[in-house]
Amino acid sequence: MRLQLLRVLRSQLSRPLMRWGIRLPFPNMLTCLFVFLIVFGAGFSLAMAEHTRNGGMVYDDFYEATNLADLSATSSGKAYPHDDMMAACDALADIRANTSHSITQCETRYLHKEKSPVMKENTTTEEMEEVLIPTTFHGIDISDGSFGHISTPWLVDDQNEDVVSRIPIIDSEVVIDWHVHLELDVSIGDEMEFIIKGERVSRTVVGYANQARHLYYVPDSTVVIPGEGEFVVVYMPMAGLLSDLGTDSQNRTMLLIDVNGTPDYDLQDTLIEEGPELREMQAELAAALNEQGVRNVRVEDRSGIWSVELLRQDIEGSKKSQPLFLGVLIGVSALTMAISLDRLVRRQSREIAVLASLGTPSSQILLSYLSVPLVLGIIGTSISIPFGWKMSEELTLWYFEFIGVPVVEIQHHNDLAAMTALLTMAILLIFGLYPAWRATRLNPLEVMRQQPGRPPSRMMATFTGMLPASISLGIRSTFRRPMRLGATVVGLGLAMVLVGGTMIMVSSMESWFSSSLKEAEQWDARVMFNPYDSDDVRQWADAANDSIEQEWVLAAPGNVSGDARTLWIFAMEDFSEDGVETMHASRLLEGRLPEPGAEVHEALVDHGVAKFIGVGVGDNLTVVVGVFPLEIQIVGIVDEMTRSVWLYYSDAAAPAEAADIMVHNILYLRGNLTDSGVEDIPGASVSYRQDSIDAFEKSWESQQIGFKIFLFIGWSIAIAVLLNTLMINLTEHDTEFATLRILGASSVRLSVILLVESIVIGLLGAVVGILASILTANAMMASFSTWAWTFPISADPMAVVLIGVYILVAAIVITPVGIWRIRRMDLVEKAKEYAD
Amino acid sequence: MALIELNGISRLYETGGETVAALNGVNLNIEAGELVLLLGPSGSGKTTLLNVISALDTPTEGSYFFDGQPVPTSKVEAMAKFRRKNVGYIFQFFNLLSDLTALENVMLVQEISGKRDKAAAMQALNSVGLEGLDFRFPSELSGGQQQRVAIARSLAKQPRILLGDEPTGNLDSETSAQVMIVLADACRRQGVTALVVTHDVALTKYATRVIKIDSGKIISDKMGGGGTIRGKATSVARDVARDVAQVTGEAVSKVKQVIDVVGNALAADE
Repeated sequence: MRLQLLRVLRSQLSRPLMRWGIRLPFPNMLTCLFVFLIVFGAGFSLAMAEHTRNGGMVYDDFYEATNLADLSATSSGKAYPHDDMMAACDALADIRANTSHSITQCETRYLHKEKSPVMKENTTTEEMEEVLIPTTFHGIDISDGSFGHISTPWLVDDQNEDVVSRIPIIDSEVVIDWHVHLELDVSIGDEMEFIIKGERVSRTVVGYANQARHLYYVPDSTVVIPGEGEFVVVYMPMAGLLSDLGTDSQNRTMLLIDVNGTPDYDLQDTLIEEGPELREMQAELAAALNEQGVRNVRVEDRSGIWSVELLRQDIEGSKKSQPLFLGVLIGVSALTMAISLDRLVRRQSREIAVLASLGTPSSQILLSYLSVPLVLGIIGTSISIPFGWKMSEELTLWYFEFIGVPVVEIQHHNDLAAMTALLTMAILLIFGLYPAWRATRLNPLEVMRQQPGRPPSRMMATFTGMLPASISLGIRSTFRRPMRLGATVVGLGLAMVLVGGTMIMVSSMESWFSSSLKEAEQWDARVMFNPYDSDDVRQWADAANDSIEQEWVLAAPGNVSGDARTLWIFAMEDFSEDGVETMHASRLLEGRLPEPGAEVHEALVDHGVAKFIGVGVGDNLTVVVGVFPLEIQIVGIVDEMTRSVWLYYSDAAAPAEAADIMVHNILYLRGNLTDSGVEDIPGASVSYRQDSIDAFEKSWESQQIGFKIFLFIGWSIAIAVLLNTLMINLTEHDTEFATLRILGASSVRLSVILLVESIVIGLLGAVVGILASILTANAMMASFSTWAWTFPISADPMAVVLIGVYILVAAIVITPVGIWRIRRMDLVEKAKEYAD
Repeated sequence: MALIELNGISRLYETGGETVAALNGVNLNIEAGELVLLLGPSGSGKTTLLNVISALDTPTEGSYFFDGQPVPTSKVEAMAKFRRKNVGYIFQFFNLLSDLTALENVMLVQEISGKRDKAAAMQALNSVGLEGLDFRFPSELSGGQQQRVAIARSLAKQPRILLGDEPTGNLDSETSAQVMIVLADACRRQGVTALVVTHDVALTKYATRVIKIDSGKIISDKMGGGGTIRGKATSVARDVARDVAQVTGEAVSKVKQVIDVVGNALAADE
């Protein structure tokens, strides 16, 4: 007898699982839905965690393999003797001898920017034509069989080729950047032509490499990745480059210093000073260089290698956002499951009451209902791990292919998988605990008493009492279970965190980029040249002055005094907001445009500088260019793509102007440039605004895949949450609708009641969804926002409206499903369930 | 012409490979104004019969006429429309909508029928003895009061017939009696024909006619305690006709003629 009773109890206690539909090998739709949510949530989170770790490892391997410089001093174009630079290094070495930050070695480089002639297909004529591509040349010493010793090019092999990369042996050999190989289809053994100092030179490609300065493959002072094959980087023997340039073989533009070990450096995305010692060494180096007459250089630690820093911050951003994604995705799944479990407990309340009456311990009842999240969690996490691994491989490969860094190895980390699985199970069990606990708290007497449902509040009754009874019923039904409604709305809000937040952030990013390129920049072409070697550019400009609009700019890296983060100082001829009188439009967010000649130079700062430095209109600031401090007063804050300060050239270069020396390194051009000969200017590189716009639009398009995946996941989850609640509401109406149907209600009438309820839930969901989206977009931006990369979030009204409309439509779509169910119902049997 | 005319109604179900006849060749005529009690044990087919009459279920065989017109048996919306126009229904567990007040429950059914009338709804509640309780929700009413709301709800749309499936099954005997009195009184005043399924033999005194059903067949059709003289006479005549039908078919028709004459004479005396 006892055994029989135990058998009955066991079978009863397994009913939650059976009732849920966890029947192998063919589980029902509900089980599939929740497993889907868990797989996606945990899998995606694991993918992000692995990508972050693998990405970090790629960079760690890269930094170690290339011996990334700890300190560097870079000239803005002026060349200095190698011996002077090395003397400064020796001085620093003396200061730091016998300390933990001793100097291991120093090295000098020469950087030159000009162009490369490349044959490309004209998209209009479909004919091949020669195009001159902006090119950066790295002159690197070859010694001891090594192509540099600090921040070296990292040789890469193409797995599809039989040949391997090697360093140049003679001056006529070069190593090209890996991106050049991919984008221009140049291979080892090919002859490639370059223009150096206006002369064409031909060199043999002997290898491919990545280099720290060009990991994020963009020219200086911009964040927009150029189009395919529109930027070239070449690593060549120093002697060869200098010979081609016709300059002194001892001239250098860059000093690299390797400090013992891997000293901490000040991260640009934190307020903490992580590397105080290295910061001191920067000042010591600057002083030592100054003593040697090397003045117009910028001294930085690793954080100043902008390309490296941007990507490091990107990976850090992923790392920071991974717990959020796990929490949100699994939280939504768990919340939705809890809603359904609660419903199951209500439906089985009689059975539970019977079990309790028979003396079943509460713990057994608790466990039987906890078995649902347990089993769903086990099934879901088991599938999510291989799914997550696969996703992480794809994500990492896609990301680094986009960046242009070949990934040597992708590893799977068991600790991350275990952590993700455990966290997922924990979240599911925590959310499942409440309904399971409720099951243990049911009073058998109350359950058996079959009391009619709790009435709505009088306020609700008064408010809806004036409406037709059908509509009153729809509205009151919605609020019948306020906790479930609240949970649905919260679940929807969480789902919108992913999809709505992404939609708003992406639309903000796109419109910001687009307006930055199209509205802020009003030049047609931009000529970049060495400010200390500008005669050819000026000659050309004089000759073209009557036919082409021109604007001279000086752009130099600098920093706010006392702050290590790099910004750009732009010294302009004039300012305007509309880009008509000038070729750069200053998009004022606050304040006014500067006036020249003020006692304290008036300047604009971009919104990022204002935000991160914590300054505003009216504040005074000292910016350092090289070793020269510049006192400015902020009169306006502008929307710019890079961290920057903008002031009049006549203020910034007053000493040079006074000496009638014009120092510029950028020339903006506007007008008909066809046959202007601008591309033939020796020593200068030309880039076109339209190319940047095209490149951005193309790059944006390629990133849509990632965004669409995000949106798909988010919308799937949002729809699942909404449909789950609406279906539960529907089934709870079964007896009511059966009754009304027996009393003769038409399908139309019942549709009205269902529709009202769906619309109310949909509207509530839409409001919460929109709010959650806007808040999340701002939070996501704040989390991703770094010194190097920040932009304002503007909730595009269209995106916001779309979010609300989608949710409302999803809610309304359930109505026909409800009617279909009613038409198929056994009305009499359903009506008899009123007792339950 | 009878209001409800069932001829040879059968309802067969396939269950476990066997065919079960929930109704087996039922012939039944119900006149307007009758309050018919349908008695029978569990599984006798009484609820199935109720479902057929209310156009909730479709007979497997036979014909069903309501007020001389064939009742729709296949199209779901047509059957719902039939119920909307002609049928009131009261349930064992009242089936009131807990989110609506007593008055709103009545008005909802009026809306369903396209006859929304607040005054009439109030009147309906008053007529079943619920004056002053229109604002209360079902959870704030006793079982008897809830069932009265259900009666008012059904009658407020002025149906031709009122069907009840164990309407007193969830009530104590005293309340059951009160509800039946209210039901009978309301039906009489509004001229509504009622058919009530029940186990409770004690309720026969409220009915004009008591039909017993077992194994899908009508086994008895007698006058109830609530019948009129005419009703009683008609019931007696019916009984006699049935008994005589066992003799000869021709004799039956002649006897029927005699009985009709007698019945008319009795009615003239009333």
